[in-house]
Amino acid sequence: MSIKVEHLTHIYNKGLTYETVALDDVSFEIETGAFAGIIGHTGSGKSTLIQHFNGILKPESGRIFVNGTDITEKGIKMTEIRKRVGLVFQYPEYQLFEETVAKDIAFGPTKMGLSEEEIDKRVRDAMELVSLDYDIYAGRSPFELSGGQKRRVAIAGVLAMKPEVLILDEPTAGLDPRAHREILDMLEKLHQLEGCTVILVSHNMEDMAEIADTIIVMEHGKIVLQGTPREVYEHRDLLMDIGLEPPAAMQFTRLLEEKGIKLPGSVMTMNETAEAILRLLRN
Amino acid sequence: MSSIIELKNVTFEYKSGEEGRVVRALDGVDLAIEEGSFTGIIGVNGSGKSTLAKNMNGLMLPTEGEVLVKGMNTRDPETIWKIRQTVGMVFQNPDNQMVSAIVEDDVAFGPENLGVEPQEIRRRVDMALTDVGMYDFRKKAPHMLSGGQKQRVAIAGVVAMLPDVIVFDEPTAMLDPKGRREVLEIIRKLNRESGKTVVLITHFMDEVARADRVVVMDDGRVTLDGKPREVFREVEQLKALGLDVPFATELADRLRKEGMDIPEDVIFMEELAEEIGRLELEARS
Repeated sequence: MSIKVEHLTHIYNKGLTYETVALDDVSFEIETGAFAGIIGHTGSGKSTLIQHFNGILKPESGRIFVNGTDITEKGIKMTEIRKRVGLVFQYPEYQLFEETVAKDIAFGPTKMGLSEEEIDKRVRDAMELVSLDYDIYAGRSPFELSGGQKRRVAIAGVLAMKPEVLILDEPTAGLDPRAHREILDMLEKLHQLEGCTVILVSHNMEDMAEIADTIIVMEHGKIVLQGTPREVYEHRDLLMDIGLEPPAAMQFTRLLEEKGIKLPGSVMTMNETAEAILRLLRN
Repeated sequence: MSSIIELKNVTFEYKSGEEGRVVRALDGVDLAIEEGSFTGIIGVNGSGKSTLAKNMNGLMLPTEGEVLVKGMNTRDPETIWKIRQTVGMVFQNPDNQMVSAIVEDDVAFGPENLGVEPQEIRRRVDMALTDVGMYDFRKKAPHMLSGGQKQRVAIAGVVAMLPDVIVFDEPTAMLDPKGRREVLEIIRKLNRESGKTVVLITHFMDEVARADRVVVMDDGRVTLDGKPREVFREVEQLKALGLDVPFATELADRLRKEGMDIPEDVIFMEELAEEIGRLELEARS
């Protein structure tokens, strides 16, 4: 068990006319080392949920355990939570502020009171993980980099704190196809090398099909589906009803089914679709 | 048809960072936008798409070359306001485009600044909100709306200025799938039903598959320009540029490489499904 959420409820503007139940008795577990995805449309409760993971929001009721430690407990130190959970917000590059890339990445470790030597090592390691060459980029201003590079600097800043759980909120939003691909590849590499638990929050079911082991679907502050991508995507109509978009491969197989063509097996990705079509046509 | 916007050999340079290195964001671009057309512009970050858009209504002025909007030069201070009224712009983040606490006030902001008569403003605000399907939300506060709804209000604010052309700079980048669908539908409607000339800059290839024309930017230049079918068949070149092609195009390309007899210019899922149906029938007989 890496993350365990028990009966988490969060209410905005409690007692006011605008009272909104943003999370409604949410419970789930994510295994250590898993790559988990959380999907849901804007306003479904995803962001409220992840803001509880690093202590930005406190629940109305319920508890969150990270590797056995209850991070919702009264009196727990924020620094303790931050060491365990690294949160990468949407458009994290807007939060870059230092003169150089290295200084920006060093900000978190410095606040943790680590030695100069350890900080330098962590900056180098984090830059390597996000594929930014230390010799080229460490001394550059983050503001002179491309959008995708800035975002990688911001992610490196979180990685440098060596969190046990890494949570990213829409890390590919607004990027061009190449930068989008680079971020996904980086996350996969990171997950394999560091072995940390990764939670990816995204609208993009295409990416989830490819990268996640387990998916949680949220709607109206509740979990409506949970399982492997294949299990979750079986519920194509429900997903579309709640404003999500199944991967293109699944939309395409639906079109084929309407024409009376049934592909062998269930497909979620481009590769699987191509293989299934070839099998169908060659048999 | 005649051109409503003409870029003639446009180069745009700016200085970057403390050393003041000169960056050439646009490099000798020649481009004419047909009146009433729907043009999609794609390219990786830094390829010059947004700079191109901002040169279309004088938000940026070319370092070299000319931009003409209905024959008016964007360099001419006498006509710059007329040009900005002719070419409206919608940006990525709706939150940065909201100025008022009530939806209808927000939409009225543009026409008010143009000095339009109050009665006419009322008429335009109602029309614009109806056009984007947000009339029922006219008394609401923008912060209570979803991302897609906010972006539709931002579009209404531009529509209320009665522009001939609307340039959309990645209008769906920050939206969820539902918000994206809503906004795209509005953009198509503005082109087809209201006759607006549309220029849509995007990273989503599927959004421009139904455009009249797709322009591909790379390193400040136009590298491909044509009907979506003509442009997207260049799968290898687009991938090398860091771009993508629509799902059906890529799937068709893979199947073709495996020896399947599928035409090269497939861009829609429906047509690929037809082709597969045909091949399946052939395989059975």
